Amino acid sequence: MGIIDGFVELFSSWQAVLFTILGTLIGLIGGAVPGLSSGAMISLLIPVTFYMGPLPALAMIYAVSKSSDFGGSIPAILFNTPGTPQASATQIEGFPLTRQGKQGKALRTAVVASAQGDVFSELLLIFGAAFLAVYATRLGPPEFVAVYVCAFVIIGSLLGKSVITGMLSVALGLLLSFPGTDPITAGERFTFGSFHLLEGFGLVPVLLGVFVLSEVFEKVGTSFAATASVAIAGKPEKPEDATLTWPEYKRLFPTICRSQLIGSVVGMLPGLGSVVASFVAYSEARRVSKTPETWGNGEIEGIAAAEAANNATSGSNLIPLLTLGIPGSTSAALLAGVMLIHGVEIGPRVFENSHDLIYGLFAAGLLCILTYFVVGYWGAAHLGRLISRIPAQVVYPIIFLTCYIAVYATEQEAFDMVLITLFGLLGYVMKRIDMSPPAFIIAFILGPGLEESLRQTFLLDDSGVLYFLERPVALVFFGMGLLALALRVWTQLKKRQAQPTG
Amino acid sequence: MATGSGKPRGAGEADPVNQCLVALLTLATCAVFATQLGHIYVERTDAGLGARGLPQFVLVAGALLAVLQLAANLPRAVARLTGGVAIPDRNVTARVLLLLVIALAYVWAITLFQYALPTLVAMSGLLYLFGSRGPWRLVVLPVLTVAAYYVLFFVLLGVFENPGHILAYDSYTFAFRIRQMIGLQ
Repeated sequence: MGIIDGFVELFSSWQAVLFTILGTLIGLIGGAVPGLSSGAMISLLIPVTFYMGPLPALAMIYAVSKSSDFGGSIPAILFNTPGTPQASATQIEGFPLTRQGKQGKALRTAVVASAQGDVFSELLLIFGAAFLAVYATRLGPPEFVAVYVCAFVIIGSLLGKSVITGMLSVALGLLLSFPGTDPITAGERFTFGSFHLLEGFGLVPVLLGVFVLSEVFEKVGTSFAATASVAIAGKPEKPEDATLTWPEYKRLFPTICRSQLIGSVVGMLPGLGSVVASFVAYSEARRVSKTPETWGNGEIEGIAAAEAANNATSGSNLIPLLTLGIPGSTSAALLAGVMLIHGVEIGPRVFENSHDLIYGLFAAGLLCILTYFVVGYWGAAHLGRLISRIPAQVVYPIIFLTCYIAVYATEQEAFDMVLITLFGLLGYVMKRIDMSPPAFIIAFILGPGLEESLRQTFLLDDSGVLYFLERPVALVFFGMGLLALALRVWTQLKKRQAQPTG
Repeated sequence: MATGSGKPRGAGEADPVNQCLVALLTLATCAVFATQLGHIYVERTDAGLGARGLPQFVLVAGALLAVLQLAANLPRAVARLTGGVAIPDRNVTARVLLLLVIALAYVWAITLFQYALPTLVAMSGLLYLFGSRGPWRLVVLPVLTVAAYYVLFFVLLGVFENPGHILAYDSYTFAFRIRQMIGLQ
């Protein structure tokens, strides 16, 4: 059993255990700080992983992404301010419960549903990914080209405010992945005569700039005094108001099961992510509820649905990464970046080449769930109160300078520090003009993989593009991409027609 | 960057002015990259797609999509701009530019004076920019932050600091001794 090997691998390294727990706590706190995305947190930690072994590094990053999904629900319930976008659905039912003095019940419902959804998704990953990877190893370069194109089309069309804007975000990411040396001839290209660009734009300055510095640029114009969170918690009337009772859990169980299934399926599809999963599950639970009139006034079933689905994406969105080498979300893309930094091959062969490491990562995922369950069940309210005392005026300057020190720590190059500034500005502009930073980053990370597969495909056969017609699996992936594009265009046209003119 | 207009738009609807700006940003990037395309070395014996194949395709596809985007949105964008668009808050723009200046000055200063002094000054400036006031926030906190960075990056992670062009000092030996004391070295 691979997962047993994974636990042995994890527990034979104290650093791996320590950094899993540390990553979980960082994710919980970071997720609970409104305005700090999990992508930003992970990007900040990537330079630190340079100094770690592969398993502690991957385990910490994975733990941050998992626990921040739950962490975002803490301020959503306590302060009516979601810590992460995916906690917005939790906020609808969570904050009314806080006003009724049932914040303890709301938080415990959130942590129980999150942990159950997460365990389900993790088991799906553990037992499903290896199974699918066996089939994926039979794919050749033409199929991988089709998979990359399919992923770019889906991610680009779904993550942009319009289809073309999303595709342009992908194009920009691909363009900026080209500078450096050619993967086959090793000749330099797009270096603009600078020897600093011989290895291309570094992953760390690009990630930190686009994900983290851009957020600081956004926040510098905010009046923090006006956005200070205020807790309006009532007092619990009965002891049951402070906890989730067993009969309540039994009532919620079918909703959690249905929502974790929705979350797992949505998580596997590139570009959709946990925000979509939590709202779909919330709407579905409300639709089938026998008492829909109570929703919106503090219905724990709504919290359970949103949280189970939200956390159920965290394991399953690694399935496309580990079976096809395609990250389906920002967190998966960042994890792919850490894998590349540590020389771990992404794609189906990872189960053969890095068997113990990957199962160690899965074991770290389970340890992370246990950690955030324990901390969240007994300490979420305390954590919420602690976070409400951290002034944003202090947090953002610290984040800003940490980015620069972190970049300096990796290469000691002033050039990289200028790059991070430029990419921070680019990320800020991208957000202001509705481009998609996640689509840009995913294309930037996957660009070299696409080029390598494409060049290999054209070397395999002289018939050029026609060669794809002889590969049915490649055609299926191209078809999937086209279908997703057509559906997105159709829904946008329908939406535009439905809007009143004039 | 458009921040408003005479007519309200749907929450999910794309802003035509922003769509045009996306197209212009892409066209500008494509134009800059296109100037370098001819410099890519191509082996005469290179079979298959060649070194220029994918970059050329992405440049052409990106430019075509951008032109399409511009053509589809320009009339609506012009109508919106002539209809009166709320000017972006000058205070916000000034703060963003100030942050940019602090960032670039910090990078320049670190090459001249090494990490500690520029970080101390930059931290105070940033805290002030973000609205912090008083000696505790503007003096004590920056000192504590510089010390925390030193412990994390130079002591625990063992980062080596390049000497500054104007002020050069040895921060490594002290960090090295602490690393030895706590068993990291």
